[in-house]
Amino acid sequence: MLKKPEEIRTTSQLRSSNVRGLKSAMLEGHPEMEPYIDLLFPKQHSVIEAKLKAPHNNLSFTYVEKTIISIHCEDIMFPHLKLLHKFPFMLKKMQVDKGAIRFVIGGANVMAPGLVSAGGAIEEAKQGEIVAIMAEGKTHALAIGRMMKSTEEIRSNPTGAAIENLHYLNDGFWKMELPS
Amino acid sequence: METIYPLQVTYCPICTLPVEYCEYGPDFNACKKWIANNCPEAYPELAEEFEKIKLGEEPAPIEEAKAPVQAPTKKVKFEGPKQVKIALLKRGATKNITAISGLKDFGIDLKAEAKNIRKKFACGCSVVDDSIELQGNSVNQVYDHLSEIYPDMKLVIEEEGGKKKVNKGSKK
Repeated sequence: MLKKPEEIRTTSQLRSSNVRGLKSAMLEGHPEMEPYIDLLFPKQHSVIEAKLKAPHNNLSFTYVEKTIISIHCEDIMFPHLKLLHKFPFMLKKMQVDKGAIRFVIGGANVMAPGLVSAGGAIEEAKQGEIVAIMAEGKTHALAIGRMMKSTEEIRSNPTGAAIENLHYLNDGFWKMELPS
Repeated sequence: METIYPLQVTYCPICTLPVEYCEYGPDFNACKKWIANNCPEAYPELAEEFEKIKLGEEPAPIEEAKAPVQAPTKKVKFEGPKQVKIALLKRGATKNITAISGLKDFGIDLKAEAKNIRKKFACGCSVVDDSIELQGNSVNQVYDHLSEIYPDMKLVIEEEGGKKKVNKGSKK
């Protein structure tokens, strides 16, 4: 979504009610996070929301003390990769084969053949769901994406793009410099 | 062993990626030295090489040879006489100006082009000496616009600190 770090247009502290909303939105999607949610939002630090300059008006993200927590794009929200690395159970895992890693790190969408081949593995997921993209032989996630098809469709017809790449290692969000 | 969350992930300080993804990072060879000294277990197949690096040898596999060869050839290309420079200039603290210079070498009517840009980007745009200046920061838009209408043109985006982005232009 972001190839390189973009300038931040505005930053604003989130109200405590908005933080509560953010927390509950997170827990709704990831109920397993319950015991750790307070670790993400320590009381002594405020949650800050940052918006990006045009033409990325639809993007915003929240951060707490130099770590990006979540990224928002229009109506979808997903965790930052560093957060996902810490809590890998947050999202369903879709594994791609070795040959696909280069392209995914370059920002390409995940193609269905890379998921159904011997090195890939897929979990049941609906269209539009946010998933973690893992890689064959690696322990950590390399990207976060949104399902463009359901798992069934991918299995029955493994051609074309299957997961839209939203956020990947070394992209704009990964390298984003936060104002102090 | 029970896993404790949050997990601790080792990130390579050189390319910022998790260590296991260094090999897909921008410069794996630069990272190798650090990996050899800190966490060689991430790449068991490279254990031998790491031993050598520890002994003081520079990492010099085939991949490294490729990279520097490509870089200089590209650099030579930039220095061709005909190129269009797009630069971002500052006016005061908060205002920017996008300057396009070098269009004249391509035989383009600057006044007409300025008018086109004015219409397309809806911003003030004028001809100053031999360059076109736009009000506001539209470096990337101008870049896209020019590469669309003049696909053969060699475009260089100039930012503070030197040339950063170079693309387009037919080979020779």
